[in-house]
Amino acid sequence: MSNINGKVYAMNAITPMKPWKTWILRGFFFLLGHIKPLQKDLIDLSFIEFARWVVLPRKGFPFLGNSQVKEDLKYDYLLFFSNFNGTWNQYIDAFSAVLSKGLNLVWRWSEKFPGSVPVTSFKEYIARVQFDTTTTSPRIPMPQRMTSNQRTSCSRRWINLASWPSSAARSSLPMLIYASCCKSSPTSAKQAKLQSLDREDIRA
Amino acid sequence: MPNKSGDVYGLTILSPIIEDEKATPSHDLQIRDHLAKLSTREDSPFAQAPGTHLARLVVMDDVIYVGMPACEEHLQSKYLVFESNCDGDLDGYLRSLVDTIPDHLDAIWKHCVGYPGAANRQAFIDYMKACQLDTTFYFAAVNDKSVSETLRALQTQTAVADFIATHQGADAATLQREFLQFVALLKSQPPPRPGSMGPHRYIKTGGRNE
Repeated sequence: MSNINGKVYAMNAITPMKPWKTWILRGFFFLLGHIKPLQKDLIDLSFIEFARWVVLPRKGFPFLGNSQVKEDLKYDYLLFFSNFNGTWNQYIDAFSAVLSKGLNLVWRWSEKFPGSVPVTSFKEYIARVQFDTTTTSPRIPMPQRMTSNQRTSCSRRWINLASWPSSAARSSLPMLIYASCCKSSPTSAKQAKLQSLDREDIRA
Repeated sequence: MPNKSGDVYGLTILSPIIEDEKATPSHDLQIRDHLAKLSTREDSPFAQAPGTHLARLVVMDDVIYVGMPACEEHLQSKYLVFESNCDGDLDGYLRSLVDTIPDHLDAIWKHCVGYPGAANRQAFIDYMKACQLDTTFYFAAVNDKSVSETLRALQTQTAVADFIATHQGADAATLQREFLQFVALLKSQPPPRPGSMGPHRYIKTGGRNE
């Protein structure tokens, strides 16, 4: 099993859905894909690098003939693949705390989904439907992004440098990238939750 | 297009694994054995193939039974799941795979039903497309940056953080002079090699929830 590569965790999950329910889910994903503000919470979970959901119809499994036996299934399946920084528990905790409504909209159509809150039953469900990665290959190293504490700390250290009169230094590439890292401070309740999770991450 | 998020393509491939009672060990075990020995760092085949942000290979044995009142059902085949987050379009990415790592592709996919081999490029592309699943919703948090741009940004971030840490308390004139030197040095450096910057972390086998 190698769900972990460096700081990246690769998670796979598969859940059965009654076929008629998949169309509701497809509709939800269509809206999510076309109305960008709905993705805000997903974007706020800054430790997620990639996430994808694939609705796999019961007759949609690849069939290549030859010696392969055709699948005969009653359920459609929802596949979920994600790459994130941190541990499994931190990820599920954050998902449950910040994205509970969104998660319920995605997985409530799957059989036996208990809801994303309370987190204990949610974790039991995810552990049951998860299957392990055989190998994960990174081309990019995916270090953890700056946590909110690190951002605050660096902001303080940067004061002298940022107040320079030199326009050459101000316009340099590192400054621009650094500025993008430090551009915002958490204000909303959800972001405050994320901040507390960041702190737990640092302590870990 | 659901397979794309900005400029990043989310490729999902499900290849049925050959079921052969006479094969010892079975084909799925041979895939697992091969994958277990594959490097996941700089010398990973997917670090050599251009445009791969992250890729994973998974042997999916069966669907999962979640308990009553759901019905229990099983797959007829085991499947090799290939999931990749890559730059550009699908045809270009598959071409780059077959051009750079044909031996690795053959070593993995030769255990799958109907695999034509990487020697015939077009047949390989057609096979992969036949096994492809369309993504329903795809999210990529790389801000539409390519692999090389991301590597360069990470190199810059690390270097700037180191510079800040090592110049605490320096006077303004020194700081400015050394920062300009630092910027010039950084610009002259080549981007890091794919897979080279990640931390070494030994995989724990105490369970999936670590």
